[in-house]
This record gives sequence, structure tokens and C-alpha cells, in this order.
Amino acid sequence: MSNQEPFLSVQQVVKRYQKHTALNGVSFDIPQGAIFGLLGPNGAGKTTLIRIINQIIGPDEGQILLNGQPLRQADVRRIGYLPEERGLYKKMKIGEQALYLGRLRGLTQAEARERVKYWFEKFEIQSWYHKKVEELSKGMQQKVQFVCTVLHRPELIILDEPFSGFDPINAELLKQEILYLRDEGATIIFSTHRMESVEELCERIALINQAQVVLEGNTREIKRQFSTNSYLLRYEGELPALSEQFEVTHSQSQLGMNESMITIHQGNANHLLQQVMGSVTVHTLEEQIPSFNEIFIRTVKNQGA
Amino acid sequence: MSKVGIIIEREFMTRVKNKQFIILTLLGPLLISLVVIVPLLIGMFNDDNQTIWVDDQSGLFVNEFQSTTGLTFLPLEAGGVDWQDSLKRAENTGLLVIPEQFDLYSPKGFTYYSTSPLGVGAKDNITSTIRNRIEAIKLQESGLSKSFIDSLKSKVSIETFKLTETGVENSSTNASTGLGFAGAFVMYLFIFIYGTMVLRGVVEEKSNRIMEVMVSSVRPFEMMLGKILGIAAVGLLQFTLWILLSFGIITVAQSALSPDTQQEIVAANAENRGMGMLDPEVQAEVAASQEDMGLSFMDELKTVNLPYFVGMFLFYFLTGYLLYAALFAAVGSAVDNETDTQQLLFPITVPIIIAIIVAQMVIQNPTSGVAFWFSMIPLTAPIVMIVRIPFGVPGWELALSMVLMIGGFLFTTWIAARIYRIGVLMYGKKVSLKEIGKWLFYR
Repeated sequence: MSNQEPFLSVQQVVKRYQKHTALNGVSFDIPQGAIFGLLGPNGAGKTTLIRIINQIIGPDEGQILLNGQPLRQADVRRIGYLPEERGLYKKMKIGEQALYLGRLRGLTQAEARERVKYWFEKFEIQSWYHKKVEELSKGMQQKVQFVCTVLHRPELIILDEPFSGFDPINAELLKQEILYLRDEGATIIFSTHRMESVEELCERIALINQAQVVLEGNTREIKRQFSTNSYLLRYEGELPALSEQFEVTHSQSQLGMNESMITIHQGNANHLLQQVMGSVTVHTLEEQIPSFNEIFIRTVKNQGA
Repeated sequence: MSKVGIIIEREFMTRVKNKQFIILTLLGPLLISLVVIVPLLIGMFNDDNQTIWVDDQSGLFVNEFQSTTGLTFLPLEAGGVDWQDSLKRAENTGLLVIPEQFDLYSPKGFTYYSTSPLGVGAKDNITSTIRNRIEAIKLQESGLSKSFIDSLKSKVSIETFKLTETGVENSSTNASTGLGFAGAFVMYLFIFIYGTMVLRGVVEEKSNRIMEVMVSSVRPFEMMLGKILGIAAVGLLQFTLWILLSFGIITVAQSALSPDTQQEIVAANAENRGMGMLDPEVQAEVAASQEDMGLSFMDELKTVNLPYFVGMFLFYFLTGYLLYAALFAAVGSAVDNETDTQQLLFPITVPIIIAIIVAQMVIQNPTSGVAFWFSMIPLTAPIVMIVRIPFGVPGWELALSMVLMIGGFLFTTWIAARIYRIGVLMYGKKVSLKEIGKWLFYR
């Protein structure tokens, strides 16, 4: 996959507003069929970048390539966009609304009708077809909006904070649909500042802070990169003196169970086990993988310093 | 179908299917027809017959007071009737007392007694009867005959002709004024009603946050254009329906009131104007002259080149609406909710109001410098030019104005589209005109 041409390539994009620079030379690639996390704190420039990809606004410098070609106006029908600030016409029936948005994205009336039917059945919301938006709860509206986003089978789906406002059951449903769409061949950009959803879904991420990409790459590699080689050992008994390659950073006792945080400077977890096995009864040994939340906070703080 | 087409369809259908639209479309003509029908009905049902006893102590007014519909004069028999008492008991009855002696040159001392106040029509009737009689007596005293006096009075009417290169044309000031001003007023209404509708539509899209989904599907310019054209179609439909329904209702209502009653009403109206004392011959004459006036207005209307006027009207109607609607859309895009629009609407409403004021001056003098300049400025031209057109506008002026109009419309649309593009995505910020000015130069 790596030798393949990236599906979407963001190249040195700069966007300036009067008083501040929203994007300052942002670059990254997204391979075909990936779920890509676009992360960053509020105001980092995520939404500006998404708007540029959607051609709502133009970049001051740089370009964006889709399949190696600069974006054209006609490409909007290849993109499905679910904005963070999303709404629907209050007085319109949701079925008509979905048809309307589908047609604006290039579907014919008949195609749009057929696909609205398909998705409404899939989400079990057929009975809402004739309801007006103002009669629906926020969560219901979110479902309709998601349907509207993917109705025209876009190759690139951009979801800005898709899970906000969803209850856990519907969030799970949405997650399954996102994975399904990925399996069908769609490439998905996932913009959020909520890290827990990233770990489950995204293969690659780009972290934007203060208008620049500060971290980019494969999710697993980034984790390894940020790994501190810390292990949590739970055991009964007295911990023996360990060789220099291991460092006990923290110990505590809880309900007759001892816990020690051990950093491995050399070797691996197996070596550690060999040293302790004779003296204590090991219950668990667990690698302390940094969560994306920690990585995010650490990176942003480092940059600020 | 193009995207603009799809948007036009939605803008049109959602509004036309709206209950409010249906109610307003049906109610409008009813209100218009009421203005016409109510006076007719009042004439018909106003049969509160009033009786006035005339105590003519001077003896000069025997048989002078003629009874009319709704008003009966009866001579009071001499004798000691307790008239105060009987007046109090009778409804709609009054007593007119004419003193035995009064000065012909400053007549005073006429009195009226009643439990209910004297109506304006009846009062006019009485005073004009007395005045006419006094004048007749004076005439007799002076020894001049009535026919001589009548022959002194002259009725003057001016028939206006316009000199054109092809010869002499019968032109009419009345018809031109009426037509021009009606046109200007309709234009003014249309721009305001439907311009505001555009504004509301844009604000709705913005405050519902549907904008971002939309602008990622269609270009903001297409969105704006679709909305403006869709609402134009709504407006044209509503206006056409209003005109057709109004005519329909009025025609039906008029035929429902039978021809007989109509004649009665005409007669009653004539009497109310204080013509009750005229003998039937004169009345017929008056009626004939009224008919004459009506006919001549229709004739005058024929002297105006109607297809030409309608054509010009549609042109200015369309370009004027498009020009202003784009500006309304721009304002709508710059605010978060409707209450914030006031300050920004000011620069748009001022030219419209100036145009209406200028239009009134232009009617007085359709060829003045003011008329020329204001019919060239695209912001005021639709209203001012339509007032001038029935009076005849030189070809080059018209052509120049139309070119400027198209140019102006393209220019404001371009400006509006640039403001719109930035404005629709700008939330939570109260913007000033200066700020909007800056948006014009964003990429």
C-alpha cells in the first residue's frame, strides 16, 4: 500500500486570515481505503483544512491532490462531508431533505429515492420519512445527517466530530457503519479532539497544533514511538533486587497485592519475568501503552513550551 | 437538472406548499375586493330611512326639499303639535326649522332638532337645497334668467397631444400618471416583500447551520442564485394569483348586485353628493358625464402603448428585484439572526424610499434633470423609470438606463456573492459594514 499513490495528498497548504495564520505549510498523505484521524485542539486549524478540502474556501498557498490530480469543483460529488456545525431545514420533511441533498450531490431523483430508502431501512428510520426535522431529537437528526452525507456513495468521507450527541448504542451503530463504508472502499477522514475514538478506528493520524502538523503517521508506530517501556507488575511476595537494566519507578501495596511500575531500559518483558519469577508469584504483567490522550497532551504541551 | 434548478425547485415548492403562503394568497384578493365591494354594500344596505319634518315658516321652500332614498322630507302641518314629545318617541326623525325672516345675504337661524345626530349626507342635502333656493331668489331679484347664468358657466377640458417625429399623438396625463404610479408602487411592494423573503431564507439557513453542508455541495453563488430565482417565481405566482383572484371576486360580486340595485346606488351616490335637488333631466346628464369620464379614461389608457409599457415594466421589475434581492441575500448572510439585520438593511432601504419620493416629483415633471438622473442610477431606476415610461422616454435614455440596470444588477450580484460566500460561514460575530467591505477582497 505504501508504494501506491496516495488517495488524497495535502501539500504545503497555507491559509492566512487578517490577524492569524490558520494553516502554516500543512502536508500529509492519506492512502486509499484508510480511516485517517485529523486531530488537534480546538482552533488548531482542522476545520479550515476541511473547508479547503471541500473547496468551500481556497488555500493561499499549496495544493490538494485527489488521485494525483488537483481538486476540481466537480470533485465535490466524490466527497461526503458531515460538518461539526450541522443542521437541517426545520420545516422540511426529512425524506425530502435527504432526497434534496442527494440530488445536489449529483444523484438523479430516482437514484436518490432508492438510496434514501436503502439507508432509512438500514438505520430503521423509515417511519420518520414524513416527519419534519423540528419533531426529531438531536440524536435522530444526527442519524439523518449521516445518511445525507453518505447517500451519494462518496469516495472520500469527511466526518467532523461525528460522535458528538450520540448515545453509546447509536455511537456503536455509527462506528459499524464507518467500518462498513471503509470495507466498501471509501477513504475516511475523521476530525476530532476526542482521542478515545481515534484509537479504535484510525489507522493513520495527523495531529495539528497551532496551524502546523506536529505529529503524523501510522497509529501503531506512533504509539511505539511514545512508548516509555513501562510495565505494571502485580505480584505476591517480596520483590528481589533487580539488575541495572530494570528500574522500579513506583511501588504500592493494595489488598495484600503488591504493584510495581518498572521501566525496562534494556532487554524485554521476558527478561524481567525471569528475574522475578523465583521470588514472587506473578499475577499480571502489563505494558503501559500511552493513550492517544496522553500523546496528544504531551505533544501539544511540548510544542507550547 | 442543474444544481441551480434543484435549488429553485426546493425554494419554490417549500414556500408554495406552506400554509401561510396559501392563506395570504387567498386573503390578499379578498382584502382588495373588500375595498371595492364594501362601499357598494354600504350603499345597498343603508336603508335606515330618516324622516325630516320641515317647518318652513318663511314659506320660501315649498316643495323644494326632495325626498331621496333613505331620506324623506315632509312638510310640517301648521298647528300646535307637541313636536318635542313626538320627536323623542320617533326614531330617525328630525325637525328642520326655517325662520320666518332671514337675511338673504347672510342667511342664519336655520335649526335642526333630533334625538340622533344629523348625518353628513343629509346635512349636505339640506344646506345645498337652501343655498340653491336662496341663489335662485337672488337671481330672480337681479332679473337674470337661470339659463343665462348657466350659459356663463363654462366647462373646460384640455386634450393633450404629444408631438413626435411621426406626427401628433394623443397623449393622456391622467392615464400616464395612474399607470406610472401604480407600476412604481407594485415594484416597490414586490422588492420589499420578496427581498425580505430572500433575507429570511438566508438567515434561516445560517441559523439552522445547514449552510456548511450546502456550500460543500454547491457553490455559494449557485445557492444564492437559486434562492433568489426560486423566490422570484413564488412572487410572480402570488402576484398573478392576486390580480386574477381580485378581478374574479370583484366581477362576481358586481354581477351579484343586480344592475337595478347598481343604478340605485349610483343615484344614491349622486344624491349624497348634494345633487338631490336636480331635476331628472340634469341627473341624467350628470350620469352621462360620469360615464363619459369613465369612458375617456379607458380611451386615454388606449393612447398609452400598453404592450410596450408591460414589456418595460417586466424588464425593470425583474432586474430591479434581482438587484435588490442579491443585496438582501448579502445582508442575510452577514448576520446570525433576523434581529441583527436592521443596521445593515439601512443602506438598502434608503435608496428604495428615495426612489418612491423622487417618483412623486417625477410625476409632476417627467423630463426634469432629477427624473433623468434617478432613472439612470440602477438602485432607483426601476421605480423612477416606470413612472416616466407612460409619458414617453427618449430611446437613448431608455437604452442607457437598461444597460446600466443590467450592469448594476451584475455588479451587485457579484458583490453580494462575495459577501455571501464569507458571511454564511461566519458565526457568532456581529459584523459592521466596514468588516463586510473587507470580505470583498478575501480569496
